Amino acid sequence: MYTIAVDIGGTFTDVVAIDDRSGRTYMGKALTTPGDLQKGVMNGLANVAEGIGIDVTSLLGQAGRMVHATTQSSNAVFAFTGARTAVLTTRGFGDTLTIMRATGRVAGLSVFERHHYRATQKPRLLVDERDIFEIVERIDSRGQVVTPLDEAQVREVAKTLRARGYQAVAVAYLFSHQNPAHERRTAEILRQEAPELYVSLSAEVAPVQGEYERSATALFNAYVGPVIDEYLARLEQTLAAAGLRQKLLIVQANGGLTTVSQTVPIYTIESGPAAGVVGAAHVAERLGYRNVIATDVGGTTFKVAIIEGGAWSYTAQTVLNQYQLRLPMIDLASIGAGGGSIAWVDGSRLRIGPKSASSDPGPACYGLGGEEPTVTDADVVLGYISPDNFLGGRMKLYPERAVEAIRHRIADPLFGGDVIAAAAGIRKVVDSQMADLIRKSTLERGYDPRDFVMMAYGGAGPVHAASYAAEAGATRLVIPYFATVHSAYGAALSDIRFSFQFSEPIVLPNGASRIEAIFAEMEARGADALARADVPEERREFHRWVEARYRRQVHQLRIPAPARIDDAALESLAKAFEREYERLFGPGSGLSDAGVELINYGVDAIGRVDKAPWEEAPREGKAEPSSHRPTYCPTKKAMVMTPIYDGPRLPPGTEIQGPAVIEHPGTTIVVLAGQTARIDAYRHTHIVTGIAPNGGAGV
Amino acid sequence: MSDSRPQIDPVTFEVLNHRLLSITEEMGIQYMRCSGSNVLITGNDAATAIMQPDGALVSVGPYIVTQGNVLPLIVESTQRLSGDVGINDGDIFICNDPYLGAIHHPDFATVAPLFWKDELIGWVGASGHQLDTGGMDPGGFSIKAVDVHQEGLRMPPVKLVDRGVMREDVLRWIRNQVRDPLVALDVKGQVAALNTGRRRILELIEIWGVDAVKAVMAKSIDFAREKLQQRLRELPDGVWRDVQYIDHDGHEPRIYQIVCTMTKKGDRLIFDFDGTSPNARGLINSTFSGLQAAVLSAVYINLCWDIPWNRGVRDCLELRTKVGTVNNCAYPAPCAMATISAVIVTIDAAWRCLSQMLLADERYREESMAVWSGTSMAPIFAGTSQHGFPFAATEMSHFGGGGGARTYDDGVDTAGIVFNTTPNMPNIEDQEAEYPVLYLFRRHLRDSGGPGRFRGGRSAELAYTIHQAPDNRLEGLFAGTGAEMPNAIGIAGGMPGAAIRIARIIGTDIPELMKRGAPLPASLEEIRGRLEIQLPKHVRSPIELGDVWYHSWQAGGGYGDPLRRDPDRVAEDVARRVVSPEAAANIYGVVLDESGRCDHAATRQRREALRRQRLQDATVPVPGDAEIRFSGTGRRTIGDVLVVDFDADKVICPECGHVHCRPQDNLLTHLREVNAPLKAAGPVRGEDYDTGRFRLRQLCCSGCGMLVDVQVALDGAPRPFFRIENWPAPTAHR
Repeated sequence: MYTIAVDIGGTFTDVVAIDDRSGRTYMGKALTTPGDLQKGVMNGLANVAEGIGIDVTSLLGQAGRMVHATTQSSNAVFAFTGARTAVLTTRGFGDTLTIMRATGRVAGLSVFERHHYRATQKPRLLVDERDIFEIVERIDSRGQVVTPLDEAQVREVAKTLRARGYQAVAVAYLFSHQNPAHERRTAEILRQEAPELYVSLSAEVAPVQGEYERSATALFNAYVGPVIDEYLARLEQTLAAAGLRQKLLIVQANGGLTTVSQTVPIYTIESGPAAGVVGAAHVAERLGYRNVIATDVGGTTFKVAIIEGGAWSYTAQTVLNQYQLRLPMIDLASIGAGGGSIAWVDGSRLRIGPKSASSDPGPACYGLGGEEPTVTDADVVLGYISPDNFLGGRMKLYPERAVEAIRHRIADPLFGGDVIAAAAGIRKVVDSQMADLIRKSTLERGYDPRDFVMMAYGGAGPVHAASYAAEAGATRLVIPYFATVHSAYGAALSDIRFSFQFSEPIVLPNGASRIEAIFAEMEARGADALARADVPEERREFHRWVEARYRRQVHQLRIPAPARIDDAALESLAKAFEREYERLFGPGSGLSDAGVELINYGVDAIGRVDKAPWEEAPREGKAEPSSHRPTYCPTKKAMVMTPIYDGPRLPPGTEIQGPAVIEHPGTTIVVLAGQTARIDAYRHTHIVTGIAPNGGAGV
Repeated sequence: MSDSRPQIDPVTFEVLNHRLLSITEEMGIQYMRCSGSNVLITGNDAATAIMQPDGALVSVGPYIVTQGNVLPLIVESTQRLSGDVGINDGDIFICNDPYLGAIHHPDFATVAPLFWKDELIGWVGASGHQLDTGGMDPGGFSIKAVDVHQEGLRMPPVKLVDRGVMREDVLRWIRNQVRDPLVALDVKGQVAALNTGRRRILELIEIWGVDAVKAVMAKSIDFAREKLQQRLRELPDGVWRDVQYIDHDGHEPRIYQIVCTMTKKGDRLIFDFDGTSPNARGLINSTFSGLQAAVLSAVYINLCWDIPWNRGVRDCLELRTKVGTVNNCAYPAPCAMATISAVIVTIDAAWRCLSQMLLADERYREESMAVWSGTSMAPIFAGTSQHGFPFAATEMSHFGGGGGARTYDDGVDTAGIVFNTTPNMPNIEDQEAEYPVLYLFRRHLRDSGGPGRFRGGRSAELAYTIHQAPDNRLEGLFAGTGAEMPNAIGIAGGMPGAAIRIARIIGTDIPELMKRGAPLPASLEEIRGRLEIQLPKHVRSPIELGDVWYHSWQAGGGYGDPLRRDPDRVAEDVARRVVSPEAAANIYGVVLDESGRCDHAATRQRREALRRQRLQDATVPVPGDAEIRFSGTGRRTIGDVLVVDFDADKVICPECGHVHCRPQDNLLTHLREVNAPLKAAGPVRGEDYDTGRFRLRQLCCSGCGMLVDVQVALDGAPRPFFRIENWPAPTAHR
C-alpha cells in the first residue's frame, strides 16, 4: 500500500508516493493547471505512477491514504473569485468589517510600506455596506441575552438574500463565542428560508473573543465555502472514479488532516507551507533533532517557522488580503525576498525587493523579456544555478541575459562595471535579510538560533541556505532529500488533527471545574470528529492549551495545559505561565499581584497515523564530481573552479568539502568554502557551516 | 571623497543598515512585550532609536512617528546636564521633561550611551506613553492645570541605571509619584530594550569592527539627506502659508491659531511660525520638542516615503519660531495635551503647505494628500469594573481617524491618526469584557469625509452606556481638539472633513428597554433622553445608570470641487450610506432617481445651477497680506485647478478656459470668494459649538464657479496663500 500526497503550488503540482512497508518514496511533478486544478493532479499522479512502473488506477487502488494540500482557497481569496457573500451582524455594529479596526489599512505590510501613507489603503472589500445586514439582537460579555433575536427580521433578510442572488452568508454577532444561541437560531432560519445559501457561523469557525477577527474569519469561510465544497467533492469523485478506495484527506493550515466532509473551508488556506513545516518537524525528529528552524525560499517570499521540542506554534492572528483572521494556523514569519526579488539602485545604495518579478516575464535569465535583475539572475551569474538544471531541466535559462541585466542596472552604477561583484552583492544583501528574519523569529520567542538545526527546502532554499544559515549563527543545516516536493512529503506524513478553541476570561485560582468542563466539551467534540474520520480510539490524542495573561497587562501567552484540571493543576499552570512569561519578557516583567487570567482555551484532537520507515539508499555510486565549473567563492571574492556533484548518485556517507555544488533535479545545494557536506543513509544532506561570524563572505 | 569618514562599500552598508533597523525593531518588540500597558500597545504609542554620539537619529522604530524624534533632544539634555553625575558605560538616563526634550509628561524616555573601548560611539533610546504621571487628574491629562508643575512628575535627565545596576531608589521614587504600578513595569521594559539594543550593537562591532558600524550610521544619515535634497531640488521654489486652530484651552473656549509659512528654496525647507498665538493658559501648548517632532512628522510622511526617517531629513530643515507661542511655549506653561492639540495641529498646518507644493509638480502630484483626521482626543472613563478593579480607561476608537483624499482616489475610511504608522482600534468585545460598559453602536459617521472630487476618508461615531458596574456609576472626562471647527482641510477645492463632537444623553429609557428585552437605540437620533453637547475639554463628571456617552472624531479632507465628482460614485456613496441624500443634492449636486441611480441630465443642470449660485453669492477676496503669484517658464499646472502658462502670460482655469490674470498678478484678487457657515461642507463641522467666529471660505473661478481652494477661516486670522518662484518648464514624468 502507498501513502500518496498531492500538493498544488503556483507553478507545479507535486506528488509523493511512499511505499508504506519499505519506505521507498517516489516523486512526481506536473505543471499546475490554474483553469482546472484536477488536471494537474491527475498528470502528477501519472508522473509518479510512471516512476513506479504502474498505471494511475492501480496506484490509486493501492493507496492506503490519499492526502491533498490545495491552493484553491488561496486562489479564491487572492483572485477574488469566491462566492457572492452577505453578512449578518448585531444591530449597531454593521461596520465592523469595513472599519477593520483601522489596522486594515496596513495589516501585513512591511515597515517600509507603512511609511508610504499615501499608497496604503484598505483592501478591496469582500462585502460592503450593501451586503451587510444589521439584525436586532444583543448578547453581553457574560453571554447573557440583552435583546432577544428578532426572528421575523432574520426571515425577511433571508428572503432578501435569496432575491438578490447571494450564494453565501456569514453570521457574526457580538459575544457569540460566549453564547452561540442567536447565531445558531439564525442559521436554522436561513436554512429554512434559503436552503441554497452556504452559511458560516462565527462561533463555529472562530469561537474566540474579538468581533473583528471572528467576523472576518466567518466572512472568509463563507466566501471560499461554496468554491471549496464544490472543488473537493468533485475531486473526491474524480479520484474515486480513477480507482481510489479511501477517503480523501485534506491538509489544513494547522498542519493536520481532515476528511472532505469535515473540512472547514477557510482552514485549508496556506496549507502547503503548513505541510512543509510538518515535513521539517518529522525529518528532524527522525534525525534526532527536536529544535528546528524551518526555512523555505520561494519565488517571492522567504518563510520561517520555529519548531521547538518537536512542536510548532500557532499564530495568534492570520492576515489575508489585509483582513485579520483567527485560524488554527502554523506560525510562519515571512518577508518579501525570494528568487524573483528585484535588485535596484537607490542613489548610492543597492536595494533588493520588495518588488518581485512575477513568473512572466520573470527574471532576466528566463529570456521572456524581463529586464530587471533578480536574485535568481545573480545565482546564475555566480555559477550556482546551472542554466541546464533549472526546475529539473524543465526550463532553459539564458545566462547572458542575467549578465546584461546586472551589468546595466547594478554593476555599472555601483560596482565600476564588475558584474561578479554586483551579483555577489545582490546575493549577500538578500541572504542577510533572510538571516535577519531568522534571527528575529528566534530571538522574539526567547531562543538562540545557535541551539537550533536549520532545515532548508523549496526550489531556491538549498541554493541560499549555506549563506543565510551561517549568517544567522546556525551551525548545522539539513537539506532533506525531498526538498523540491517538501510540502507534498510533509502532507504524506501529517496526522489527522482537529483544532478547537474557546474564549472565557477566568481569573486564577478560580474556576477549576468550569475550566475542566470547557476542555471536556472540546475533547468530546474532538472525539466525535476523530470518530467521523475513522480514527480508532487507541490512536487518539488530545493536547490542551490555554492562552493566559497577567490581569491588566496585554500580552497573552499560549502554554500547554494538563490533561485534567483541578485546583492543584491550576496552581502549576499559573507557575508554568509565570516561568514562560519571565523567560520571554525578562525577570520581574510580570505584575503577579494583579493575578493571572485565562482567556482562551484550545484542544488539538489528533489521530496518529503510522509513518512508513525510511528506506536506506543503496551504498553504491561514486563520490566523485560529475563536472567542474566556475562558481563564486565569497572568501576569495572570485570565481573559482568548483566540483559539481550529481546529488541522486552520491552514496551515503559521502563527505564533500566546500566549495562544491550538489545538483538535484529541481534544486541545487551550494556548499561554501570552509563548509562540509555529508550525505546520510537516507540521502539527506547535512552541512556543517563552521564558524562564519560575518556570514563567511567578508566584504 | 575628501571626507574623513571611513569608506564603506554598498553591500556592507546594506547588510549592516538592515541589521541596525532590525535591532531597533527588536528593541521595540522587547519594550512592548515587557510593558504590558494597553494604551501603549494598542496605540503602539512608543518608539525606539539608535543615535550617533551627538544624538543624531540613525534609525527609529516603526511606531509613533513623533516619539522617536524627541530622543535626540533627550540625549542633548543628558549630555548638557548630567556631566556632573558622570555619563558612563552601562548607564541609563530617564527624562520626561517637556522643556528638556519630551513632548509631554506621559512620554517617559530613556537613553543609554554606547561605549566601545572608552569611546562614545552612539546612543540607544526608548520612549513610551505612560498610563499616569501623577498630577491633578488621573491618566496624564490635568484639564485645569495652569502650570507645568500641576501636571505631575517631571524628570530632568536622571540616572536610572548606574553602570549596569538599576537604581532601585529612583524606581521607587517614580512609582511613588504615579497612580498606576504598571508605570514601573514600563520603565523596566525600556531598560530591557536598551540593554538588548546595546548588546546587539556591540556584537555587531565585534564582528564587523567599530569603523564599519560608525560608517554605516553616518552613511545612513548622508543617504537620507542627499535623497531628500535631490527631491527638494526637483520641487518648485516658493512660499506656502497655512493657518490652523485649537479651539479650547482647558479653561475657556478661546481660539489659538498656528500659522505656518513654509519657504522652499533649492534643497532647503524653512518653516516659520511667525503669527502663531501666544502660550495658552491651559494644557494645549507644546514645547519646542513637540514643534520639531510635528514638522518632522509632516515632512517624513509627505516627502520621505522612500527615505529613511533620520537625522538626514532634519538637516534639510530650518525652524523659525519664538519661545512663548502655543507651539513653542515658555516655562512654566502646561503642555500635557501637546500631542493631541498643538503638535497634531502643527502637523496639519505643515502638511497642507507640503501637499500644495507637491501639487505644483507633475512628477510628484500623485503623492499629494489632503489633511488626515486633523486632531486626536482622549475620552477617559473611570470607576470600578465588573471584576471589582478600580480602573481609568481611555476609549481608543478615535485611532480610526479618516484619511485625506488623494489626487486620484478617495481617502481611506477609518485610516488612523497620522502620527501612528500602525493604527489600531480596540474590539468592542475586548472593551466590554474588561470594563462595565455596553456599546450601543460604533459605525462610520455619514457625511464625515471631506466632500470633493475625491472624498476624504470617513471617521466614526460611538455611544456607550453603563452595564454591570458594581455601583452603577462611572466618571468621564474628555480632552479633545477640533470641535468648533474641523482641522482636516481639503486641497485643490476639496472641503474639510468632520470636526469632533462630544455629547451625553442623560436619563434615557435604556435600563427599561433592557428589562423588557426591547431593541436598544442604534443611532444618536434614536436615543431618548436629554441631549447635552459637551465641551471638547471637560473635567470629571458622573456617568449614571441610563446615561449614554457619545463622541465622534475627525475625518479626512477632500480633493477637488465636489461638483466634479463622478456622479455615479456619489450614487454609490448614497447606496452605501457614506453620503446622505441631502449632501448628495446640496454639496455634490447629484440628482438621484427613485431607484437610487444618478439622473445624469438633471445632475448636469443642478450642478450648473449650484455654480451659478456660487458666483451670485461671491465677493471679491480682500487679500490683506496674502498673494498668489507665479514666476517661471513654460506651461505648468497646479493639480487640476490652475494652469499657469508663462509663454502665453496667463493663469487659466482648466475647467472653463477663463483667463484669471497674468502670472505676476495677485491671483487672489481675480478669484471669487463664497463665505458660508462651516456646515456647508456637511454636518458635524462645528455647528453645535458655533459662536460665529468661523466660516467656510470657498475660493472659486470667476468664470465657472469651480472651487480652487476651500479654507476654514477665522475672523481676523491671516489668509493661507502661496507663491511659486522661478518655476522651470516641466520635465518628463519621473
